[in-house]
Amino acid sequence: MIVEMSELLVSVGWAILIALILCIAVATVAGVALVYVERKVLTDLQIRYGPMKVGFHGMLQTVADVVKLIGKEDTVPREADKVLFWLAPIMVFIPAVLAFLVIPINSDLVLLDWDIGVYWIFAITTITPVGLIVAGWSSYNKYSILGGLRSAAQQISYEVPLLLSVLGVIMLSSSLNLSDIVAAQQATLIGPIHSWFIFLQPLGFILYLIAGLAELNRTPFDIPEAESELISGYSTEYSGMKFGFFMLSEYAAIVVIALVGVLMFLGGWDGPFVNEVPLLAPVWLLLKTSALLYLIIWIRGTFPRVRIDQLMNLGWKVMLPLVLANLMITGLVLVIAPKVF
Amino acid sequence: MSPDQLAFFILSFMVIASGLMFLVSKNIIHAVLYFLLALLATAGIFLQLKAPFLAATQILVYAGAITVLILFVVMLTISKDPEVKVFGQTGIVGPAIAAVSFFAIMAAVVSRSTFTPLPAETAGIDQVQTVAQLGMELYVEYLLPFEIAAFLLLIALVAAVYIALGRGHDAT
Repeated sequence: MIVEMSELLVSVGWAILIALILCIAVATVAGVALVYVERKVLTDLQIRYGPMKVGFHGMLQTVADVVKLIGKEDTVPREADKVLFWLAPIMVFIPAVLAFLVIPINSDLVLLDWDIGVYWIFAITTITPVGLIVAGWSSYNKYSILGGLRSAAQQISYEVPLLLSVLGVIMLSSSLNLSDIVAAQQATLIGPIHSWFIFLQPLGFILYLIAGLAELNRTPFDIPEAESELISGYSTEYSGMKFGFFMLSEYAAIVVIALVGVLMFLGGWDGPFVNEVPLLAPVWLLLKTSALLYLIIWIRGTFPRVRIDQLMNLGWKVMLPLVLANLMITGLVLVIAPKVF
Repeated sequence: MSPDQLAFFILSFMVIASGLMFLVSKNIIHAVLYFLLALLATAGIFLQLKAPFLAATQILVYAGAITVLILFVVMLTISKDPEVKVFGQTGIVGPAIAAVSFFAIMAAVVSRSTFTPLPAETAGIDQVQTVAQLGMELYVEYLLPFEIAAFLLLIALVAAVYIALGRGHDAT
């Protein structure tokens, strides 16, 4: 009996460990790759080459950067709250990693097949602002505190439209599970076009993208980092791999937002020949996610930063009424003509 | 002891221990973070009881939103030294009355309710799918209480805005 139990404990422990290691690996690889891609795309937009020296067209540049970060001296401010200073990067990194748990890559490959699916992603990422405030506060630096507070305020304000913008999709597919949501988008709409929710919820998709950018503290909403005002905000005092963790979680979060956007609005792994060749499913998913990521980087290369009051006005006075209207219309159509979908 | 029980005991210990640390911690930021740990451990108990929706809600509402709200209030009110007295300036009588009466109410409610154990066949199920059931209960069976609660929150929100604007001031 006891042996059985310990065997069970060990096997459950292994399963959890392997899932976590997979998540960390995916988050790390995605983050490191995205840093390189972002530098290349940005420099391309600015008609420059960007990193070219390390590896083919600089492909190993971020790998070298990570190695450099690991080897760097890890400075801690004398007045800092040492424990919290050490804890904050972890508090930011863990939610970004755990979000990958419920993301499927084809119709039957997912680490955790939960019926709460996408709800889990939005729930676990609400811990990030706590980590940012803790990072700012424990640094004992006014710019850091201001940056942390701004960042948390922004994420809190935009969580509301972000959650409400995907609610229309959830109403249409009547599921929170991302695999089911993708399955719901396989129906035929007109001719060869499948009923991807971007066609049924165009306003929802646009609002999701804008709210997502704000949630990620990305340009044009990168107010918390605003180099010229806050000398890059909450991460000012961080160096070495602690800073690397902030960087990594930020980029992993971008990948999560893009993946969720593709799964919920762009048909996930749905695409030509996917039924004949099942191996194409992850390829389509990756291609669509890359396209969305390109769009996000493109926006960074194109738009100026908004002011904090503009950001708050946009969030509460424009985005919120629009998502609520979108939700109401979706509900009305579902009640009046449920056969349409 | 089964792994489930072991997990339950570890999580319960974490809830109680971090709750205690929250009370006695002198640094108010540390206190908030112990509170966060207690909330996360509670979410862990929900997970362990196979209620992932409740766990996610616990994280979303309490660990995420409420903790950030508390941190904001702390950041905007403390001056330099975030030291606090363990048993505040209000004395011990008021809090004691509140604690005892809360305990009495909870004890009365718990002792009056009857707990029926789950049928044996559900115990073996790895994953109980709860979201759909919960939705039906909340929006069909208990719609009126749900709407009343929502209206109550709306009133609180309007009141908060009114207080924030300040009495006698023009809203614009």
